[in-house]
Amino acid sequence: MIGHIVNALEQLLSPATLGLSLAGVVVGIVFGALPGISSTMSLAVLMPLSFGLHATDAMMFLMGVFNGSVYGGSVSAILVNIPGTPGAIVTQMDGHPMALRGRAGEALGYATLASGFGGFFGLVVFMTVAPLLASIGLKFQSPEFTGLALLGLASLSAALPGATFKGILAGLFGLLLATIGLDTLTNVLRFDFGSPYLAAGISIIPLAIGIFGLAEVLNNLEGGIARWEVIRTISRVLPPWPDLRRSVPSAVRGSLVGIVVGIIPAAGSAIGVVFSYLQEKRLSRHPERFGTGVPEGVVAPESCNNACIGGDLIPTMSLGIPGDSITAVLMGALLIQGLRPGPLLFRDHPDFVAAVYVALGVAVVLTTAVGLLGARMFATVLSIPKAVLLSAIAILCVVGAYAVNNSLFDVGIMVAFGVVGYLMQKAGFPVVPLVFGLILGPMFEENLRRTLMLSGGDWLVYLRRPISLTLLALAVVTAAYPVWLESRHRRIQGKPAGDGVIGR
Amino acid sequence: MPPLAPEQHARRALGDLLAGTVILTVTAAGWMSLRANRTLATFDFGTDPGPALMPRLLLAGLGAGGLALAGRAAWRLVRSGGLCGGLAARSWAPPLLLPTVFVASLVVYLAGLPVIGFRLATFAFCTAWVFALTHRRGRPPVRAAALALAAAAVITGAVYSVFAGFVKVPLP
Repeated sequence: MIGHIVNALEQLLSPATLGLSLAGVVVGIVFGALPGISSTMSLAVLMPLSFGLHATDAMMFLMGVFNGSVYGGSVSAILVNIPGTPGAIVTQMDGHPMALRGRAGEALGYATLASGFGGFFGLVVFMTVAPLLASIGLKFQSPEFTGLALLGLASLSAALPGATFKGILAGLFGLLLATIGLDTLTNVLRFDFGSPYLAAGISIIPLAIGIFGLAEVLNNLEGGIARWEVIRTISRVLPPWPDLRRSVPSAVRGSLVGIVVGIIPAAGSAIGVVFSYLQEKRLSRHPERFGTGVPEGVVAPESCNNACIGGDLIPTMSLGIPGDSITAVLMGALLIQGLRPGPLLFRDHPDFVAAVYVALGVAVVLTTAVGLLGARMFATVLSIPKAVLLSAIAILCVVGAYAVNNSLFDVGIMVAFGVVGYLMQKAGFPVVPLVFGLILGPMFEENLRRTLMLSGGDWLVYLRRPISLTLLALAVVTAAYPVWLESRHRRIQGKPAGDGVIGR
Repeated sequence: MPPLAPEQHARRALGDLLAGTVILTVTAAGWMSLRANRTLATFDFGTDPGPALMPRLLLAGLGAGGLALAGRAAWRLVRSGGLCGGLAARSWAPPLLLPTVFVASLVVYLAGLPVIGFRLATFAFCTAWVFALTHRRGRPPVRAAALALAAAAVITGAVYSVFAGFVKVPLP
């Protein structure tokens, strides 16, 4: 693998590809910094720009957008007190008070360096664990892949506390969407309703752009166009060295949490940052200071959300199970390039895997550099009128969906799923399971049927193979545990007032 | 988490009832499509359980889930005094207005794309929306119009040059 990495370094460290990565980082930071534009939306909307590029160049750009947008969320959290992305929901708790006390530059500095640290931590773990997991995955056969896909889908329920039932329905809908079009095993058309467009199936890209891009535009429009109060005075960016050194343990702990949360499919960084913040507060000698502007309150969540990137990429690249909604979109981009993430990618395209490592490493370095050098310009970025931004994003959604097949039908799919995604959110349905269902559906169905064909229709074959049995058991426990927790919570809530839970 | 007000309960139940109904409609359409597919009904796929297995399992799951969702919501509505409570909560109507108009304008924009071309249609769409949104926020009409025209020109030019020039997408 080292030889492939050296080759990738030689190939990708040219001014043109570095320029692509830098462009991705800058646009990613700008998008991530703007409240209401999540990292998933940034990647979904900007991904079509990579269609004309070679796969490795496309990764340089997309990894730049990915890493930049995750970091960018901290900018508005600190300067506006509104998280730019879900991964920055707790950064504002101490970042904004620091900014209010005239330490906006330092808060941005802590966030930048912590993001860089977390990003590198995630990269190292990704480079270490993903090949090992892929080598295990190479031993898998159809029953194990069925179990793996089921585990990926089941883990969604654990990641959606309070919306498990609706999440399962959304996942089933996504799986059903995956069955539209030509069945690859028998060449039989399903749910095509006589349309030649539907015969090709529902492409993940227009759906993702609609659900994560247009739906968010509609959500933003719903609340009206508010003006953000931005802190514009940004002085010293680099924090003093002794303070920085004291923050290292927080960065390490935050990164570890980020990795673990990232590896769990569908558990977004928002869960990780809350956990890492609470952990830091619990371990602090002065927990009462949290929320008043302590650097650890910025460092832990920021290292966590950027370490999550490496963690997310582990199941995505090595097993073909998306780590979260962002990597689900990234998988769509890889499929467009003719590359299917999974164990075979490591065996058949080690050069591409090495390019992903390099692309992420370069993105981390450039994000840190742009974050430190460009901190004073961030307030200007946040001055872009929201009306202009929303119109531009809507156009990018249209053009992005059109660019997949140069077809207005795909644009129609994008608009339809934009509306579906918006309405699902209104009705309390999580949208991520739908996308997961669409991605994992073909893998699940193909391997399920292949297993049944080889076993002569014997469903018990899943229970006779230790790994598939383990994966199925894990899937059942993962799906059932949150349901049990929810019903227990409801039972406790249902008790009469005075039991200490509700009614006070 | 604070307990929900009765009006919020009714709204949520109404939303669930609607969602459950939509799911049941989708399920019914799916079953009808499967039944109408003669290949699926008559062809022998040998040891392969066939391409209808997965859709049938999923439609059964969705149908049961949709029924449970709608049934539970209907029961909650009946218990909380009927539909009136949910329908009285009309606060959802104004927030939905702008997204609805936006989607409608997007459909008109898409219909106009093959007729007047990408550049003109995009310029008109962006001008209208930037003007409407900035004017709505209290900006004087002349300044809002100037911003709208400038922004629309920049967005159209930038998107066209990047996608048509760089990515080589043959935009209409």
